[in-house]
Amino acid sequence: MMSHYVPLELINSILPRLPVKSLIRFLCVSKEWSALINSSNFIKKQLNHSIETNSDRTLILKETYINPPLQSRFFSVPYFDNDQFGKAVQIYQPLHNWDILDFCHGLVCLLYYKYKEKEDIAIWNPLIRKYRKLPREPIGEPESSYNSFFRFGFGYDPSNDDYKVVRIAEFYEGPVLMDFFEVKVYSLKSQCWKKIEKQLPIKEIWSMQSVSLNGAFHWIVEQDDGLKSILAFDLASEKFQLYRKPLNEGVPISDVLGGCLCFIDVVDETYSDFWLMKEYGDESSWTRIYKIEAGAVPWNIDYFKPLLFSKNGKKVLMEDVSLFWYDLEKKRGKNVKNQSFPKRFKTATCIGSLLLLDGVDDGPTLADTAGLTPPPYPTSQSRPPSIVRRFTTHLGLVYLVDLIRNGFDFNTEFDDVELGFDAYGSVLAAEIDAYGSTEYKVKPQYTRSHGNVAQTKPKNSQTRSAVQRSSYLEKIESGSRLLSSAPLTNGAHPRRWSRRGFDLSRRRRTKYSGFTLEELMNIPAGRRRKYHDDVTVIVIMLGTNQRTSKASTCIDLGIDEIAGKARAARLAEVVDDGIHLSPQGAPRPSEPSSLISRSSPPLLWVCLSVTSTVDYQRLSFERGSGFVGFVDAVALLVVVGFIGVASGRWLVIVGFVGFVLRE
Amino acid sequence: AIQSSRFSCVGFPLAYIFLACKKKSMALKLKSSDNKIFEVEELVAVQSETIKSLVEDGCANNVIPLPNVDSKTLELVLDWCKNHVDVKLDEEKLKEYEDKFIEVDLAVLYDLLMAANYLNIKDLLNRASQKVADMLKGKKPEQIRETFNIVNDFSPEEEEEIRKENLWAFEE
Repeated sequence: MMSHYVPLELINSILPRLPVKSLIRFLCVSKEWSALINSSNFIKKQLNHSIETNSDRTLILKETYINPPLQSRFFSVPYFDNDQFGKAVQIYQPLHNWDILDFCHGLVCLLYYKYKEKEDIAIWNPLIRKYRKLPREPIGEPESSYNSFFRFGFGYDPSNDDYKVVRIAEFYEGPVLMDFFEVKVYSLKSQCWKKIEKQLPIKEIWSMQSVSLNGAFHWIVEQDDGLKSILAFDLASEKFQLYRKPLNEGVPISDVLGGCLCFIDVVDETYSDFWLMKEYGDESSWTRIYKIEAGAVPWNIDYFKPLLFSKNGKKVLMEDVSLFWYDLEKKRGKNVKNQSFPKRFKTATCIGSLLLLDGVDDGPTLADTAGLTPPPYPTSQSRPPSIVRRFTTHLGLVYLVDLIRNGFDFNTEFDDVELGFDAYGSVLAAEIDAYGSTEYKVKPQYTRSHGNVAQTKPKNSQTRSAVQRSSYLEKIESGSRLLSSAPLTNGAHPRRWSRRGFDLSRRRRTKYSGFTLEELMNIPAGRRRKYHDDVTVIVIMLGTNQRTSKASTCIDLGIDEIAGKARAARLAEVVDDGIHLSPQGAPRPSEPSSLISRSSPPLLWVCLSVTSTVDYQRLSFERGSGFVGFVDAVALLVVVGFIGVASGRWLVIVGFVGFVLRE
Repeated sequence: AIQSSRFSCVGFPLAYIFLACKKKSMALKLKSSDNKIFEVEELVAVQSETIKSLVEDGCANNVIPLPNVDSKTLELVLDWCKNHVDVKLDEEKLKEYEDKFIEVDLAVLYDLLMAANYLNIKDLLNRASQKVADMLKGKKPEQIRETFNIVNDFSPEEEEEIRKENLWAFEE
């Protein structure tokens, strides 16, 4: 032991080289040391050292199973200099059911969203287990708006040495996006929100997520003339600026890699182009770094989020629902194999940093903040893993799934998200939204695989072997994967999808103008249509050799009994029948309550049921009676027809009911 | 005959330059705390910013006393400097040398650290700090206090509080 006095000056040069865990431990060495480690100068010095040497480099993985939804775990994975990953260790998450929004310098920005609740933002330093929840900030909504929608971004402002969260609120007047945005910025230093008075020089924001670089946030936006470009918001000058983006054909996505702004062009199913703006701000420095073509990776071309370059710069670590290295020279992707990783996750990269040392500890006692604990999930064991959510884009969908699974509650005014998925976990999503417009999406890739399964499927569900069951699982996984990627790859309607996912504000709309079923029923029948927004759609997809009688009877039941939960439970049963993996599994509560009895062959079905009630008058949005029904009927036919053609099966529409409206 | 004359043509200026360099890089005398005198070339010694400023100020004509560095440490430090004076030394070899050089016990490392700090030799200071940091990494606060001779000025309650707050950091 040296047992000598070492001047603080030397200690100051030694300590930043230590991992953060040791530094936290050394807080209790002495008051002097504690003060040193807590000082902002030291924190900065340590951070700079970490950035220079990539010390404590860690990946934070957030498991993306939603089933059971309350147990989305966080893991930390050490990332070594030789581009190898260590063992994933589960870590405490500060708050339950939060999602990774963005990350920067060892800080992870988390977003919490729950149906019917306000979104919350928290900033978390997972390596020292501290976090801070941002105060909620009201929005200044223009009067004519009935619907608003947030976009968040998180990043570093070097000129003020501060970390900031930006929140852009969009407003809707009826279905139309208003020409007005509200921008607010939260500063971690001052711990408060500040309004930015300048208006965005654009028509619409396309990106889901902002990209933070060089003290500015970036989004892909559409200008008034329909041109798409990259909008930068400089945090120091609080000015907006537009940059030209490279030409593209597919879905444009911006991101950051190796300290450069990058631009990714996903051309559905064919290739994905990757451009880097080598000189920040110089539009002529866009350089194409790589192009991933179909076949280069063992899965569908999709938006792969680039995380970092390998040490030699020849490979890029990318995130899909797991991680893979893309070799720029060989043009091949290779999965990162690590047994300890969760199956699917979203990734944040961190370095050792002491930022937020003054934040709240996230010990287990504080984790269950009242009101944020998700409701208990009663039968989690009997449910198969099915839908996977990668990002908040899917929150709406997840909600629907949750609703279906837990039984509909017609007092929940659910709106807008309509989704179906079949026994193979494939996604057939159809939307018939409040205004009668229709969007549908069936991934061709998926329908192919789906067709294969259909052929190999035994007629009697009870003879399903374990092997087939596992292939079921696989299908469910691939389907889930598609679901998780859907909003970003849908070339036809990327915007609608992205908005859907993030459309937190729909619930605001229902809150403003929605009725509960009870209230609706109190309105005289002849006037209900006026208030009605949507239809309940039940589509049952049957194989040609399937019995249809039972199903239709059941549907009759379904139509006749609108008595809320009873029917809801049945719908839930259908869902279970559809995707339940093991017929011998959990016992059903009672046979008659099952819409489609389990002895019938496994059916494919699309079950959509959404009730949303909007007071059109309040929206000053008159609509001729009968119109909704007509448009929706056409829309439904289109959807079903499409699904039918795509899946090569017969479809029987069993029910199409604007159920609250039967006058 | 032609060859030899050519040789002398090249040889003379070279020798001249060599001599000139040698002359420029004159020897300095350093005195350690235990009064041992070390004679080193100026080029080697001026890697220490402290000595460099002395030389520049013209105070280096006599013996330079280094009262904070003992002879054992000074020898090591000078060895380090000698090996870093030739910039062309290839990187791998230099790294190998540094790794070997720094593999010393804590007491020697401490002396090196203090000497590097006093003599203001940047790369040695960095290397030694990193080495100390590596050695401290897994240590407990008690061991740290012992190592650096630090008095714990927290009351037991205060210390308990900090420990409790960051319990995870004390786990293995």
